[in-house]
Amino acid sequence: MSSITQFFSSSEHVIFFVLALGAISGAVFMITLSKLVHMILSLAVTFLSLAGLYVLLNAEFVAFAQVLIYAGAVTILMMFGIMLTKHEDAEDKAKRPRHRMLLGVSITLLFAVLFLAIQQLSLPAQDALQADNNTEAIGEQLFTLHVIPFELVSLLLTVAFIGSIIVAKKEAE
Amino acid sequence: MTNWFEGSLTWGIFAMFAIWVIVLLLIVLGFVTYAIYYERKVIGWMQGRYGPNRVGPFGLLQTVADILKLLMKEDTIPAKADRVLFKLAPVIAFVPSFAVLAVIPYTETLVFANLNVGLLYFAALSSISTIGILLGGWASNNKYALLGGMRSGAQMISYEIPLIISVAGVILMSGSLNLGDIVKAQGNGFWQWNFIPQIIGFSVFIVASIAELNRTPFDLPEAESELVAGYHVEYSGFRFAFFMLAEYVYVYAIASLTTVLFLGGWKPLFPFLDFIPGIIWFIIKFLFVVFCLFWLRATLPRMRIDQLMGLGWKVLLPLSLANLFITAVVMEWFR
Amino acid sequence: MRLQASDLFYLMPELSLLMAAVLLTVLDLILPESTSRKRFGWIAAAGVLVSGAFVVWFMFDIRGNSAEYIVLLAQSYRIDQFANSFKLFMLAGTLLVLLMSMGSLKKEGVEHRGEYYYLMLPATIGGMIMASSADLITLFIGLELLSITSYILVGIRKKHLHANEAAFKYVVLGGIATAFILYGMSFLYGLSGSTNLAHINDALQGMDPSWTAIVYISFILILAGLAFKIAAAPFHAWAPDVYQGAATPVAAYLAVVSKAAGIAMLLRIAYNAYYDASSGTQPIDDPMFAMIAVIAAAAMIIGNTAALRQTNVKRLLALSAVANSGYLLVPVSLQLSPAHASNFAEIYFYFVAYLLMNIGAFAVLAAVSHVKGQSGLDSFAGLYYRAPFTAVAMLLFILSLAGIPISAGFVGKFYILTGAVQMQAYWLAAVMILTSVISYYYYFRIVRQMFLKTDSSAEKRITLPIPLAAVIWFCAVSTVVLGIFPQWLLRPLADLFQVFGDLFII
Repeated sequence: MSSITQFFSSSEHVIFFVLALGAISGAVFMITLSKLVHMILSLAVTFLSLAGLYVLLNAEFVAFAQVLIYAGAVTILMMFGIMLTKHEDAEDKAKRPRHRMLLGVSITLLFAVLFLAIQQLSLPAQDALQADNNTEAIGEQLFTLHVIPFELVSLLLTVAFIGSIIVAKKEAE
Repeated sequence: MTNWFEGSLTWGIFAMFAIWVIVLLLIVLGFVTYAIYYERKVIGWMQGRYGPNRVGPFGLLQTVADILKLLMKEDTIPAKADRVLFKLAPVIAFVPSFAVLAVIPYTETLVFANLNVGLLYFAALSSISTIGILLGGWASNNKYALLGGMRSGAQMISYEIPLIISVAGVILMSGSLNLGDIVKAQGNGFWQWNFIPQIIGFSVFIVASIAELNRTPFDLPEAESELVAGYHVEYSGFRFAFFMLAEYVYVYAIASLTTVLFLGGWKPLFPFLDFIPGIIWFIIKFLFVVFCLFWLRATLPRMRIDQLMGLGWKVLLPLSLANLFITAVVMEWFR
Repeated sequence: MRLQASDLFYLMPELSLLMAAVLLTVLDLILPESTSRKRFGWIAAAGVLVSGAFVVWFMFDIRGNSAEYIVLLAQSYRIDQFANSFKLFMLAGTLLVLLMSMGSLKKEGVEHRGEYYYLMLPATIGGMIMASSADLITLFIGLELLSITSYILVGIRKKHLHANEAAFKYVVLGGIATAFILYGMSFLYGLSGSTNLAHINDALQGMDPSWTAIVYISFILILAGLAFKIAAAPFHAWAPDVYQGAATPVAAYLAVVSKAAGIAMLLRIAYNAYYDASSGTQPIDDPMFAMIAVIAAAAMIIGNTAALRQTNVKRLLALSAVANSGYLLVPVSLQLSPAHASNFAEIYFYFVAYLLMNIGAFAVLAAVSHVKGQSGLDSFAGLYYRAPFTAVAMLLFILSLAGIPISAGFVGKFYILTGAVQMQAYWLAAVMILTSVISYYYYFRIVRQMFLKTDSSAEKRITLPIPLAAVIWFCAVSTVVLGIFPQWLLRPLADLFQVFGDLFII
């Protein structure tokens, strides 16, 4: 019991706990809620909580890029997708109980395996990264060491862009 | 910023945070109250009217009376609305607008959170407000509200891109995302402020920021004449007040940001005037920017939605990219 | 460490494809709607040829300089014979698919022909990057470039119901597979603190015993994701639907180029990151290669048995591609030993044989199914009487696919089999022989249709467009030549390829 109080005496731990709870519950609600807009909102909660976790890890740039792109742009884009298309507002409950049970069992197993594997992992202690200006470091890495994948990503985005236009454009008959 | 989390969480520290937050909230509320008064007075003056002049001396208590009226109104929720989201939407819209204020540096020392990615923080959080507006429009279950929400979402997403890219030139010049460092990189005297070398970026920023604020000439989301009142048509009472509050807090935030990024923050207009404290300079510039926003509202008509999208994607975005490119080339040239 | 302007020369194979793609994009914008986009295929093919010329140049260059490998940006991009040979293979596959498309796109109902041609080039760039990098980030981006472009190519026939379904399934399942790969990679990065495969391998050799479980999990995740990409059982369920929905040339592309890129990436990761992984002094990499063997066996068994009941030729070829993934994974799963170090030659030879017979078969299918507007087994009915030469070519491809002597497919399979026996993986060899025998049944059903059935409804002869005929005849002749003189390919391969430096990065 005392270890728990000790854990929560540090503000870093309290914040971590709250954010982890937010991330997990957002993901769970994303699956269990039945209305699409509610799902997206709970997904946004997950995105924001993850951003908070990144801040705890001293990765401010990644954190706010996450907020900007996922919580901001991606969420809104998905809402647009839903509001602009015809759809059944709420999905039906699944009708295959046996299928669901099998799925549940295998997911539990997967969780157990991952949990045990992470539980027994012991990593050598390392100095925490002194990331006073990690934005600059990220920028330098992107344009020097990782410039090839960086440029490939721009090609990838162009291709995806062309592809989405092909698929989505309404053409004259 | 990490030293916040390190230490242990005592009630003392918690209380200190809370007090600072409340102080900031009070300042902002005071600003909003008198910004509305200021706006009505300015517009009245430009239109040859008096503006509010009955409640209190010179009408100074007009907004207070309006707020009281709003708070006492009946709180209605449409029968077919999505109740949870309907209640949540104003909060989602307001909280980020208030949270972005934390990183604004008023003077060299007066800054609530000296974040090294302050600018990114500002851009990131302000994009969340759009979700609130979109949700508010959707949850009302009203076609005008939905249209307003969609327009607002489309507009804010489209203009966020040139807004951020136009600022990238400033980031290049000052080599930092920290708002305090950006001010420090500008000198005493207006010719050393960013708006001169970054004149293209500055113009794009001003236009895009007005669109982000949903103000005239870009106030399509709440165009009274075509959409009744846009996304908040079904809202009344204090929920409506929240939306309005969010809107005016963003006016405050954007005006501060313009001051910080382009107008030298707390730096004096001329070097020999630096005996005047920085906070005074900041407030003067800030009020000037706010005045310009109101001035635009009084003089410009509203745009059409297709013109709005065309302006964003075909004019502002290429301009801001060109600005970024020119800045980079020039900086490399004279390095 | 940064990229110098002079280093761009080493990227020329990719850059020439990119330039061709950009040229096509601009042309597509400028040219009026009414202009035929047929010539685009030739421009794309020219880009592929230029790119191939550079690859061949680098091959001779490295050989002349006695193994001077070019490594850019900490293994983010490297040119070695492994990369070069796989690149050459993918370019050859792309070239044949492009030729095949030129004769058949219109009838396949692909309306966006301009886009089709300039999307195929970035896809190939993605595949080439997957063969040519030893860094997790670059590998992953290459994989995504290939995958996303393939999703679009599958879904490019917008008005085709099967294509819509196929594209949707492919996007969703492919996205999940990608997520698996990324999750597995994240463990590797977390443990080693690097995305460079060489550094990861250093960290995994003599690692802390407590890491074992996590390392296995990461390997399983990456293997599952890549097995999906190469359509190996049990991750193959998408293949029949996607092949059926995609235009025939796209299906051929997925079967050949995509698969080669996936196998190249798997080889890189398995042999450079996980090889010799050991916890303390205990080696732990044997079970990993055993997992690959299990997947290989599963693919052979499931692919070949599921094909027995197929009546749609495209689905049948998809399942045959699943089985072929199994054959190809056999040499991957056999580790190297002093007695047996020819894994790469086995894989490569079989890949070449597979390219010839598979693209040939798809080309014949494209020619035949147009006439009937479908791809059921009966579209081959009486082919011998309608187009005797095409039927003979198809017979050659089927002999090769089934693994009958005097065909490239036979030599390839035999070579893989000897490797398996040398490494005493008898059970794998047994599975391979048994499933090959099973496969005779469904392959010869096509033969029976061609020669023994007469089709009363369509008596008219089939005339082939010239590019399509060229592809068919090139593949048919090469299949026979390689079947009779396999040493023509094997000897240069043995000359070219060294285990250290090419397969293992140094």
